[in-house]
This record gives sequence, structure tokens and C-alpha cells, in this order.
Amino acid sequence: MTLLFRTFVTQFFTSETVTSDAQLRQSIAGIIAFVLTPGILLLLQVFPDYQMTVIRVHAHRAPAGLIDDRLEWIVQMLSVYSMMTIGLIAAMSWDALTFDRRDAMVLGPLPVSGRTIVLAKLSALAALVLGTSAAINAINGFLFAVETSDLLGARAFLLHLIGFAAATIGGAVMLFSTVVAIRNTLAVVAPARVTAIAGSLFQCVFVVALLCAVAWTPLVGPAARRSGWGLSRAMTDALPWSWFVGLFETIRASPRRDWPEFVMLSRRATIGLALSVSAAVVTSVAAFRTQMRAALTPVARPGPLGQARALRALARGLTLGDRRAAVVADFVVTTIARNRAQQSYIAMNVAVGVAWALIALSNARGGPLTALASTPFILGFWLTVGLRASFFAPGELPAAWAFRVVTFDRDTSLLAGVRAASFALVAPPIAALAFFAGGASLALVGVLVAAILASSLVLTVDFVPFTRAYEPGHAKLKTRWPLYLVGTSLVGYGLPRLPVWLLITIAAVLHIASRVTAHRWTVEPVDEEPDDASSVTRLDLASARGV
Amino acid sequence: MLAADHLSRRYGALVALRDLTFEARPGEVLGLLGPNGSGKSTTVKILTGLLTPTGGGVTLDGVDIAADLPRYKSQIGYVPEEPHLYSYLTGPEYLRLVGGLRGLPESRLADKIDRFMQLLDVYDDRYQTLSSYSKGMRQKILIAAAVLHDPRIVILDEPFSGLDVSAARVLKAFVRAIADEGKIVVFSSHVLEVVEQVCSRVVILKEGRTVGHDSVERLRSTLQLPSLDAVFASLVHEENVDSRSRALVEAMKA
Repeated sequence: MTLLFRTFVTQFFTSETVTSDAQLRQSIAGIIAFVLTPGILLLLQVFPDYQMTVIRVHAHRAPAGLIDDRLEWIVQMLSVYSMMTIGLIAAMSWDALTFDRRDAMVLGPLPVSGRTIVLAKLSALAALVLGTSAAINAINGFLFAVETSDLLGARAFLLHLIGFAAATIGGAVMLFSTVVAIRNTLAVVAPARVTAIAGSLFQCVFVVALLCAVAWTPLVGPAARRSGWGLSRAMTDALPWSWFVGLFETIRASPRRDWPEFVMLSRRATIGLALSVSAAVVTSVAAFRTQMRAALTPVARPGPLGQARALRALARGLTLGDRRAAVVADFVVTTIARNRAQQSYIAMNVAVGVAWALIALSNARGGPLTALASTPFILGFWLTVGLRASFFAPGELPAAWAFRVVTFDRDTSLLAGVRAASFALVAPPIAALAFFAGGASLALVGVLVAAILASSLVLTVDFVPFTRAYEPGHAKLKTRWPLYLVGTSLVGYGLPRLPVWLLITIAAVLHIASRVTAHRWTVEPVDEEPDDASSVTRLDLASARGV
Repeated sequence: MLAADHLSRRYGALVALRDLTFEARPGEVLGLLGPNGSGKSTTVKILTGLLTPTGGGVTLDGVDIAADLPRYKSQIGYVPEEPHLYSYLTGPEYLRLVGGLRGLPESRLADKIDRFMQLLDVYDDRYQTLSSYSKGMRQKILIAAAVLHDPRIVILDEPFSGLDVSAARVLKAFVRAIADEGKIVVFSSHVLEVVEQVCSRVVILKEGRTVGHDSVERLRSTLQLPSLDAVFASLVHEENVDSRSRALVEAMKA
């Protein structure tokens, strides 16, 4: 049981795209940094407002109840953060939330009872959700308790800390259990490809929610609510994260704990938590046999979603009769249509674009129509960024020998195929959204921008996508974030305003430039290591010191 | 003629091949034999152009293959030891990928793929992804992919692994038939009986060196041994099989 538990826990932190433990640790560190940063930003947003409220109340310039309002607001925002973060982590561990083919192959022949396996899996899931949510909320909880109880004594500190932990961790457990229950249910009733796509969609949704939660915090605050910008009380009370505010008030023994609305919220939180955990347990137990049986029968047919007939036909058609380019384009589109590893990178980046567009729409100074017109291009830019990221994720790396034994270095067909595939994947969504936002003329601009993006993309790679070992951190977000900001602004707000003739010129220049750089493209040799590199290990201590 | 001329290959301090010389002629099947770690896979990878030797070279009709590797690659078909395929593609999709990369026109390719799928008894599974194929079915797809473009040189590394008896019989005959067509065939395998049936000549490797290189008949007569199995055991100095198997049973019981 212990061994199984450890194995299942390890599965949450393994990845088939990375090829070494060091790379895996680097990837995990990147994810931790991504999920912790919004928490810190939220604290920076909410605490100054709370301190101002306390000063105003002590100066008798505001009613005493306003402090409780602010406390509830902070708990609600940090519960949202906790829930969205754990939702993202659940979506990233999507495949490991239930039993998979390898579990069936390894555990099936062993003399281990189904009960032991299910218990070990549930224990691993519990360890994941409690461990990560505690880690995510520990600093926030401590700072919250210190900040909100400095004038009230040690008992208040303890009650605020426990109340905060119950609200944030309780919310996280409820959401995580719900995702597990959905994952189990899909594994039983839905085709495997639908389940895989649902995982990428969840990832996208939680990234959008996390980013929007940070950006919209001021909008849904009490002050905003009074000014009519935020959501109504009835609406917010219906949202699951509000329920845990009731639990917080009950645990910290606030005078408001007996108010009917907080009693109701607290009850909803308790019932919701119990129901979601029960659903996760029941679906795990009920689905165990079905999943183990289904897991032994791998997906036999690609299905309509995996076929991606229209996109593949478009990509092949864009290669204008170049046979080798056509099969490369077809390979790129098919790989993305059928592999969750690649879809995941695209989903994450598109989510950033969606969040950006939503925030831009809510803050639109030039009117919502102007902001709406830029939305397709912002999404197109981030779709291209995601596409590029997915190129670096290997798709069944050992099978890449097929390219190395056939294709040759400095082959323009490779570049032409990848460019055609990129255009086929980027142009339809941009054009469709642009048509919706601004009609046929904006759709035409969308097609031209997609051509610019596709040519720009192939200028930044020099290999057949998915055929190289993954290198964590190749996106260099720490140093290149200004580039992404400039790119978003340029593509979202700059390019759509240029005249069509200029867009055509830019697209043509980039097309020619990419053809000129085709000589850089290569197929990586297999097992090829220069003797000096393989026999001498160089310790780069000088650069390590700077880390 | 395909010739390996004093080939050597090092991986850092490890020497995988030392001064290996042999040639494969059109119309014959050259067998590569050797125990694990003898250098067979390294030799095959060098012959396919996937790996460059650290010493010596490979020539085709007297011309170094490194001088025009793309042209050389376009003339070879290769079945690797491990059936690594893109498992999310269907059989025809994989063959279309490989055939397309070889530059075969779509009209000709579609017909060829259909014929190979039918002749190799995988036609009924043409809509299934390779993830659901058995090892033998994957092997058939690899063999089809290797010969789809009618290559001049065919390099086969354990090509019959996972195949059922009747498929293996057909494909053994196929290997001999393509040699009869004047192709150069290099056949690497552990299965001595198959090598004995299929190959005209064999190169026996041990620790990266050639320890035997001749026709099976001449090796047998020279060493006065009854079978290739006995020749192999004699040349690579295999330890006593009985004592090793007894030790394994003892390890199992311990």
C-alpha cells in the first residue's frame, strides 16, 4: 500500500516531455513560480485597502462593520486564488488523476487487491491536494492572520489563521475533488480523445481564471460593488468561493456567524465539500474496474476530432504541390490534433491571450468595440506562442528516427511544411473571430496577420517540430517577457491598423526571409555525440554562481 | 557494392567498433551476427547514415557515402531493431508520411500503401492507430515503410521480431527475393536459424571486431562444425550454456 501510494504520488510529478530529472525539477520550479506569483500580487492589492479601512474606522470616519466586509472580501479573493491554483494543478495532473494503461499493465498481473489500489490512489490524491494547497496558502494565511489580528491578540491570530486555512484549503479540496470526479466520469463515459481535450480545456480555463482573478480584484471589491461595477450580493453568494467566507466567519467566531446569510453560506460550504469529496471517492471506486479494463485497450481510432480533416487538407494545400512539405505539414497538424502534450502548451498560452483580451475588454477606454477588434489578434499572437512552445515538446521522440533516416539537412521543404501547418492552425481562428468582431475586411486583415505570424514563427525554429528532446526554460520567460509584451501590443493593436498593402508587403518580406534561412534547418542526428563532449564534463561554476 | 572500410567508432572512452571491414554485394544477403554489445547496432546505424564513424568509412560503388549523404539516404530502406513508430498515426498515415518524405507522388503512394497493407494482412486495421497494433503488425508496417520507395540497399535489423510463423516465412522469402532482384541486403539478427536460412554470407562480430566473415557453408566446413549455431558458439567463445542456466535457476530460487 505504501509503495503504491508513493508510486501514484510520483506520477503527479512525472512528465514524458522532459528527458531528465533535472529538467523535470526545472519545469516544476517554473510551475510553482507561476502559481505563487498571483498570490503575492493579490496580497499587494488587498492589504493596503484593508489598512486604510482600519484607519478610517478607528478615526470614526467609517462604520465598524466595514472591517468585517474587508476581511470577508480578502478571504473570498484568496479562496478564489487557492481554488484556481489547485484547479490548474489538477488539470496539469489530468492524466494521473485516474488509472491509466501503464497502471493496468503493471498492477494487473500483481497479486494486489482492487481495494488496496483504489485506497492508494485516493490517498495519493489527498496528499497532492492537501500538500499543495497547504503550501500555496501557508504564506498568505500567515500574513493574513498577522495583518488582521495585530490589535486583537493571540487568540484572534489563531482563529483567523485557522479560519483562513479552512476557507482556502476547503475551497481547494472542493474544486480538486470536483475535477477528479469529472475526470473519472469522463474516463468511463467519454471517448479517450474527448477526455484528453477536456484536460487541455480545464488547463486553459484555470489559467484564465487565475489571471483574471488578479486583474479583476479591484472590480469585485466592496467599493466597486457599491459603485455598481462589481457583481451583486445575490450573485456572489451563489458562487462556490463565497460559501467559504461563511465557514471563515463561523470558525473565527465572528458576531456575523449567526447572521442567516453566513449560516447559509457556511452550510453550503460544508455540504458542497462533503458532496464533492464523496463524488470523487465514489467515481474512483465505481470506475476502477471499467478504467482498468478500458486502459488495456488503447485508443484504436483517431475519431472525428483527431482526424482534423479540414485543417490537414488546408495545411497540405498551402504547400503548393511540394510533396515533402505536404507530409511535414500533415504531420505537424496531426500531432497537435492527437496529442495532449502539445495541446497543453497551446492551451496554456491561449489562456494567457484570453485573460489579456478579457482584461482589455473590461478596461476598454476606447470603447468595447475597439477592444473587441483587437481580441482576435491578441489571441492569434498567443496561439502562435503556444504553437511554438508545443514544437519544442517531443511527440514520441524515439520515433523521430523516421525523419533522420529519410530527410536531409538544409531542406526548404521542412520549413515550408511547418509554415503551412502553422498558418493552417492560426489563420482560421483569427479570421473567424475577426469576422465576428469586424466583418469581412477585418477577417482579411486576420488572414494576413496569420501569414505574418506563421512566417515569424518559422524564423525562430530550425528543426522538424516534436523531434527534439525537451529543453525546459527555452521560452526564457524571465528575460524575454518584455518581448511577449511588445509582441502582444504590436500584433494586437499595431498590425490591425496598418493598411492591407503594407500587411501584404510585411508578409511577403517575412516569407522570403524565412526561405532564406531554410538552410539553417536540420534533422538532429541520433546518438551522435562529439567525443570531446562525451568524455569531458565541464562544470560551469562561473555561471552557476549567478543563479 | 556497399563496403565498410576499416570502420571504427568510439563513444567517449568506449570503443564500439574496431577496424571493421566487409562488403555487401548486389544480389546477396549479408548477415551481421554477434552477441549483445558486439557492435551490430552501431554498424547498422553507420550503414544507414544515422551515425558517423570515428575512423574509416563506408563506400557505395567506391564513393564515400559522406560525400553525398542525401543521395545515399535516398537509396536505402531501413528496418530498425525497435519498432518505434508514431503511435497516434494509423498504418496508412505513417506510410504516407515516410513515402512523402521520400518524395513519392501521392497517386503512386496511395496504390502502393493499399497493396502493402493487403499483402501484409493489416488492411483491415487501416483505420486503427498504431497504438493498437501488435508488435508483429508494427513490424510489418516498418518493413513496408523500408521498401516503399523500391530502395537499392535494404538494411534490416531484427526484422522478424514479433512476427507470427507464416508472416515470418513469407518475409524470409521476400528478403531473398529482393536480393535476387539485385538489391544489396544487410540483415542483422540474433536468430541464427533465420540467418542461416536467409543470408548468403555472414559477418560475425565480437566486442566490435570481426571474428568471422564468409559464407555460412565455408565457415561450417572450415571450422568442421555442423551448424551456424556451433560456428557462432565457437567463434564468440560462448561460455557453457548448461552451467549458466543452472546458475539462473539457483538465482531464481535464492
